[in-house]
Amino acid sequence: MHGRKRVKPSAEVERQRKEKEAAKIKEYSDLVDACLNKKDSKKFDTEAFNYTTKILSQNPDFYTIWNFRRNILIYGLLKDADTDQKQEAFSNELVFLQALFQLNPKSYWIFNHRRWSLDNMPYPDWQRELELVGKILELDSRNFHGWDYRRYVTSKLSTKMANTDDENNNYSAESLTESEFKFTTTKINQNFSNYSAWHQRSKLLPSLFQEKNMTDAEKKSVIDEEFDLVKSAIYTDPDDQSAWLYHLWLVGREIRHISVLGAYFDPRGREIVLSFDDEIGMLSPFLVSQGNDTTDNNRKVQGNWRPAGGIFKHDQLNSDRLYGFVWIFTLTEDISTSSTLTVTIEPSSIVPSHSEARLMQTIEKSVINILNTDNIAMSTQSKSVDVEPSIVPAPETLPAIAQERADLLKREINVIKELLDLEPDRCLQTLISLLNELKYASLLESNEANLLNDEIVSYCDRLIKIDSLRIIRFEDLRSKAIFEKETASLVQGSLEDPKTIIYNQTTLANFSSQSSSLASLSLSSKNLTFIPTPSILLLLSKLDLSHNKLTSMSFLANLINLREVNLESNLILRIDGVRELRVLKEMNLKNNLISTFEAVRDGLLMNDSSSRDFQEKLKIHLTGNPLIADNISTEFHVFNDTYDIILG
Amino acid sequence: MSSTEKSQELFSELHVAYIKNLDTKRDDLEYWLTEHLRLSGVYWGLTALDLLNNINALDREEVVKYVVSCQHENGGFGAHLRHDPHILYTLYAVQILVIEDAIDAVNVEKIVEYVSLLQDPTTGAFAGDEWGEIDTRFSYSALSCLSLLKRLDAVDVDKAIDFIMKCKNFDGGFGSTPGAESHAGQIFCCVGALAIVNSLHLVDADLLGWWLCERQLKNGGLNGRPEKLEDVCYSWWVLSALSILGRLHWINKDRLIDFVLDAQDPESGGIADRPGDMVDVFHTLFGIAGLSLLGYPGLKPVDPVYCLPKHVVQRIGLAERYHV
Repeated sequence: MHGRKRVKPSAEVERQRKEKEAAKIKEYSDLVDACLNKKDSKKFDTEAFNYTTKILSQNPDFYTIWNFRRNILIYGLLKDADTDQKQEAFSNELVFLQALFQLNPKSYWIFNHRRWSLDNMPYPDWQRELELVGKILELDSRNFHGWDYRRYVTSKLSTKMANTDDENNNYSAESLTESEFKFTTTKINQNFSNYSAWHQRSKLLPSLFQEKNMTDAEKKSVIDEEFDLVKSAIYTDPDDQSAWLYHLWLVGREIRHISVLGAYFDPRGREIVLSFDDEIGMLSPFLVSQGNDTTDNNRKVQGNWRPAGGIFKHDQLNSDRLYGFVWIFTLTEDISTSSTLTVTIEPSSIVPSHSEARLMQTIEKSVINILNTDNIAMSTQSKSVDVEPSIVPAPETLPAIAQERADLLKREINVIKELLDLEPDRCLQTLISLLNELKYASLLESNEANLLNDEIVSYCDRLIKIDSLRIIRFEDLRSKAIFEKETASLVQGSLEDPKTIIYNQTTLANFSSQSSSLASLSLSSKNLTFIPTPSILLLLSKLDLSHNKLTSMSFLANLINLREVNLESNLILRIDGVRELRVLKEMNLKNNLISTFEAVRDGLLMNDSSSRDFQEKLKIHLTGNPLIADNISTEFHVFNDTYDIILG
Repeated sequence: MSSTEKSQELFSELHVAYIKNLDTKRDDLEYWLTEHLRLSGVYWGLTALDLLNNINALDREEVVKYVVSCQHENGGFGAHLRHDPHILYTLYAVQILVIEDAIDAVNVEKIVEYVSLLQDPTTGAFAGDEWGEIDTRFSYSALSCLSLLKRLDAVDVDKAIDFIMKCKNFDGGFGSTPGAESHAGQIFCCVGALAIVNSLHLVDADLLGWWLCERQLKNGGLNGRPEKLEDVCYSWWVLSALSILGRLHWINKDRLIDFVLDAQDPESGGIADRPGDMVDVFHTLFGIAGLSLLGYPGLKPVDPVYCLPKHVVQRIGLAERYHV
């Protein structure tokens, strides 16, 4: 029931209404009964047909009656009819439907029956249907049934045109795609906020390119006209989202590359640790072999993969896929020391987590060699999990050359900046998207990337003040830019492909010589709401995240080398991600929002507590949380063997 | 309703009473004209009651008996006694039976057969019934239904995914058929269906999450498409999709809670599409389910993928397929 005002009539008015309705109810339910009796006894006669007409006139959503009406026509009235009789009967259906449509412009069943009638009509007049749907969209230019119907009609028309001899073809001067494209232009010019028309345009533009077999130069000129149209739309109605979203689509988004940040072998746990810069799912286990022979002579090494913090269940591979940034392979056999372990990543065995921008179509096989010694050893060669550069969602509309793309982005950034005073909210959001694209489009020096990140941060700051409904989204966007900037010192562009990143030399050196100086990083007071890429922090021993806005600490599961972590003054609700951090000695959780015993217990207790092999107790500071210390401090005794919990 | 007389709280008892009384309105013509929504109404009402901790307000035996009476020879369910079978009502029936833990009352094998025969083996799309209408709503209905029955093996899941992905648009959203405009209701169906078959990696969570959070309007309510009016039912369609994508925090929860509470009928219970309008059981469920996702106190948690109380989904042993 949509858009009907609530009224509270008096008891007397209600009584009168019910009295009036009583007769109508009787009449209607008798009619329905009579009709369904005909249906049950398969009487496909004129009387039954008239019943359906009466019922559907009152209630066009009674789908069972539509079904019956069709059966009456098929098995009854038109069973032995000739072409002319059929044509007449279905023409009558169209007239009936048109009358019903006037009263119910949004009924699925009316459009369904119309399609069925036309599909069964000997001579359907699709041109007339196109004119009709033009009128429907004049009445309501956003009626999605109308737009759906329009696509149906044009698909029928184009089939018909393909089957018609050229001489008899009235439409040959202009293709249907062209005329439909013009139709969206008309609709958009009538009302720039017609999102349905912009959507339709996004479907037609690529078909137009294809149909006309356009050269790159021709495409470019068409797209520049599109940018002009978008600009006039924005000037006319700057707050409307339609043109902005279309603009973003025109600019396109580049598929991101997933990098293998690095890999190492840890002889203590007999584990290979493999780190990616995005969450991936493993479809089938990566092959681990001994020897660095690039032919197939290597010997397969037995063991199991699991994501850090996750337990990999082979029997659930297909139903419950696990994702992770950091993957751990535990060897289940002895291997000789001082040999090379090789991890081979086949394109078919990896799936990105949830971002279209990371979809990988053509990953090359990636091989990672790790020298196996008595000490922790880093990979000697870390090749990126590579993708062909490609653009989504409309590759055919965009320049393929990186420099051209960067130029386009810079041009649009300047255009939007000129509009900034007109409509700051939409402009700033678009600028953030464009700047993020620019970071990936051009091979930037790190200081240039830092400048772009600073600009993004400043726009997020402004948006947070303007748009009170979507503050946390802007805080998340800001966190990404800040995190990228603040951790830039830990990684570098890969030599083979500058668009992918690997741990840099300093990070690796700090990590391998961890006995002398601790590899540490402070991200204190950075307004972080989440940790976008925890694997970048994998090699750290000490991490300061105090005074941020983190609501979850589950990312810690990836940081398996952490000895000390400071999470003081965040918004964390429960302990999480620390159960398998074997070398973690101290964790500061002062001044967070942990309020119940369960929020502590569930994050600490192992499923199988005996498997816990802490070298020493983990000290946890919980002072300043809403926990009521007096009541539950005694409950914490269960942890005394493995944890040292400090409540205040 | 002006801001001075703002509803402060959820009128749980009134809503329970409202739902209980739905079947006593036989002297309203409306009751008879909405027969094609009877089985759906039971699902909406029952789910709302369970979330309100009052499942026993409807007699379990009667509910199960009614659902069973709507099943046809071919395994499918109709909207009411004597109404034709359709995939939408087949899902509602299965949902009700799962809530009532009474799936054994019907022939499950026949349901599986009915649903699997509706898939087009070439395109992977699902038809609503024998008349062949195609819509991603039916893809969701089929996959949800079979997943609840643990019989996803009965259809070609890869093809079903292929069809859904053909309905993806330039804004990251999904439409009813290939080429159709994005709509929050269809987005719930497609994202939910992809979650059920473990294929959320095909969704661009950032772009779609942005589109979805832009549905929130200045009055706190959500619309279903750009430049359209707010409506309480989008508190479900938009919110569940955001929740499945792990981006529920991208909208302003407090403002949405206020909007939904304002759409309550403070005298007779029930929730309307927007403040001041007539209530109905459809908006009552989606208002309450939305509030549950928003963590409103006193409500049972709801599962964003199946639109069932979470404890029901856990009881039948289905995994949580979304980002928490």
